[in-house]
Amino acid sequence: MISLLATRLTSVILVMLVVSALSFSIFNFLGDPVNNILGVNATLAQRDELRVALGLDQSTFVQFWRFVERAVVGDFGVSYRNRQPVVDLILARLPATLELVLCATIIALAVGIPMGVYTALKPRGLLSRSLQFGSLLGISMPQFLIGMLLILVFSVELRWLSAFGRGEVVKLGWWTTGMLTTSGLKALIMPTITLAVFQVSMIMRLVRGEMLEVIRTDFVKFARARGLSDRAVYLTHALRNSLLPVITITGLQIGSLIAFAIVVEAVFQWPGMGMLILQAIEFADFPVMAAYLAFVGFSFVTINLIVDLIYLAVDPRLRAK
Amino acid sequence: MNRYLKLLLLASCASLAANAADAKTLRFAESQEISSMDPHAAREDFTLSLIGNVYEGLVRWNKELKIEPALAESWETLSDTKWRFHLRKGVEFHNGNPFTADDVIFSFERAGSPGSPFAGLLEPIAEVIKVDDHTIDMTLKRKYAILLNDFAGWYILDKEFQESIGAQKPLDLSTNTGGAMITQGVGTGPFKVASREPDVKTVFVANEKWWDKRQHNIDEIVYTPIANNATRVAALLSGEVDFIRNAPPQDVARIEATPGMQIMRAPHLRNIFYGMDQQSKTLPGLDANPLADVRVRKAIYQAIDIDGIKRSIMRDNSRPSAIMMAPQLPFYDASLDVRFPFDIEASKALLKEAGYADGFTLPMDCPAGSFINDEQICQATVGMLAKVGIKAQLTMHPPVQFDTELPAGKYSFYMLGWAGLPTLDAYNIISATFHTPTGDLGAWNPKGYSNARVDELIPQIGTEYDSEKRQEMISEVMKLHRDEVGKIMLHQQFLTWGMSDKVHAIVPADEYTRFWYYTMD
Repeated sequence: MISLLATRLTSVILVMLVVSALSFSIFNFLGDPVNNILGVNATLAQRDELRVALGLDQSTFVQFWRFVERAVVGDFGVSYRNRQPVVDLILARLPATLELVLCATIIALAVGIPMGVYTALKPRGLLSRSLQFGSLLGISMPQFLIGMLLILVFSVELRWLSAFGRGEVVKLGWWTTGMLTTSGLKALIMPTITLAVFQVSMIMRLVRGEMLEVIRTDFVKFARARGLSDRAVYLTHALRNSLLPVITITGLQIGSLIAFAIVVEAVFQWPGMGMLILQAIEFADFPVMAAYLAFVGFSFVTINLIVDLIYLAVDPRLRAK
Repeated sequence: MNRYLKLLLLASCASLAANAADAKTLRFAESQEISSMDPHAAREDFTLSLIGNVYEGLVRWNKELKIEPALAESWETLSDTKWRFHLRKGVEFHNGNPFTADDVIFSFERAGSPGSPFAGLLEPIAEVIKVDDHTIDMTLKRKYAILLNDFAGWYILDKEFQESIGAQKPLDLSTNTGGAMITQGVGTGPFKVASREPDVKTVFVANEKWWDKRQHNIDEIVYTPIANNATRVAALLSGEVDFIRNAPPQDVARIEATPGMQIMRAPHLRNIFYGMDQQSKTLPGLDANPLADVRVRKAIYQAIDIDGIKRSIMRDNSRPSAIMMAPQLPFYDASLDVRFPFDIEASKALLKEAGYADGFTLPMDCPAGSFINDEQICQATVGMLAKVGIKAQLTMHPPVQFDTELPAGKYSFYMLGWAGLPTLDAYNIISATFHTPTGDLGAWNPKGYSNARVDELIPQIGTEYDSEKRQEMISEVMKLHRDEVGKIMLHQQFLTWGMSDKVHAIVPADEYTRFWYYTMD
């Protein structure tokens, strides 16, 4: 357990270093942020002056080294676009994305697993077939399309829900939450659904496939021979053995949801990390991009670690080793 | 007791509802976000436009884009290089502090400090001297014709307030000083900052103590940036916002067709054109530079069906132009604004005369998303040039990359637009895009048009106070540039602002949102 944590910790640092090094190597191709900061009327001398002040005149390697030097003590610089320290900016946007991803994941699990179990147990039923078909749609529909359709129906036509933003948020220390106000909860509905559709479909198909495999194995037959109820056979024995891959995929998906909720956040003007990185790319806001990518690397490795720990809890065989 | 409580609640609800019905709130959404509340930290038009409702300069642009007195009541020239400004008396900042000469001097030193984006704008001023609390003298380094134009975009801050929040210098990215101005600001303008959450919401409320007569009836402005075009239009159509300023071209018809919605149109100052490398000996992939030959430039010009572009791409929201000046600018000379006709035969003849009867391959670079329909116009141009034998190889770039590579001279044939903002004077246009690149001049004309007479006239246009002489020189420059096809002019874009029909806005050619002229039903 401790050795697992230690190896993972080293890999966190390595991943973050490699990711930031890669991001610095592409910055030069993105464009020059100085134009955006000073405007089109700035003189060449002013541009050069600012470039020197920001250290952009240095070689990529020097810029990267300076970034690492400051990052070690938690200083990621100041955003060119928002003109705020990058750490403050990321902390301010993190709650919005995490709430969204958390809600979407909970929905995905709560809806996807029962649907998967049902379609595995009654593969020929009408409901199963329509669920199967629906999940195919859910997997293949692009997110922005789902989002725009929801907006069209629930905002423009019915006028029930707001097309943009988080609604009223409540501050709890540095965290902001939309879960404590009506407008905040209402604002969560459409983005959550948009983000969850793919996950629901995927988890359902995954659970179904695993269940179908497990049901055929000997120990399920023996369980039934022991005279256990259907409920115990399917839910305790079969489902539990089908869940390992679901945990892996859900864990990995949480990472990519945090990193790539970009589309949903852009469609609903959700003030989260996805929106932040999108605007940073448009502006060539290097400090935000570097810190964001390092952060994403960090969260991927951390989530993998958590997934490994959950394995231990779910599968006693791994604990024995 | 319970019943009384209910009654009380009901009564308070009713009065709230009544208040809500009376209070006029303008909910405004645009794709961009203002960079901060610091008017000296960025020279970027959207920010200056929105916070121009909070801060004021010594002068301001009125509805017709004429200079009018604002914080300066009047001014006179003591000599060619010495101006005296009489400041308005009885003006209060939003925090109650009186406005005096000290605030002007403070704002001059702040905006003009090294590293400030406004240092270039205020560079012609040598010093500002306080005569008394409401009079200042300015000494100029040289004669400077567009001082007042520049002053309209230089906003005055309260010295005491800036000191109290530690923002005596503009927001500095390398040291991160003055961060307080990200969310707060105190000016003298018609609206005050009530609250601001960057990238989420900024709320302004009417300044009841504004010195000017109040023409607007707006009590509150709620600004929300909504980056996605479709979502912004949906927010307008669903009634969640009242005003979205620039409507995406593909949604104009839909907004207009929706009951209770309207599109307001007006010409924009921005002229769109193709710039060309006329200096290099060779173009990439060729052993010569055909663009150095005026006949080839004219041939390309005449091969472009500008009316076709207007009709099918711009949906009539453009005006084909021949000179790089909008009619809304002073010193516009209508007699010069006559295009070379669209004529494929004439174009082919010119190419033949120049020795390119078989055409040539031309690298072409365009921004994706900087100008209205930029991508479609560039693609259409490729097809039009093919008809006279020129094989244009189009590359599209994200704006941030385009704006970096263009001034660096990396392009041979590129699309650009210029409005002359925020100076609203021909000098801004021609010094940036007509002058041979030298020092600070011609920054947006890399390897481009070069004419000794034009280069000689441009500095004179910058310093001439006499209107007649100035008009003569500007017309001469415009004519030379047009006849020598310094740029291939396309058109002047139109603004299409989408809003609820409850909103009565003005749509000025410089695209600024001057909310003190707006009313709501």
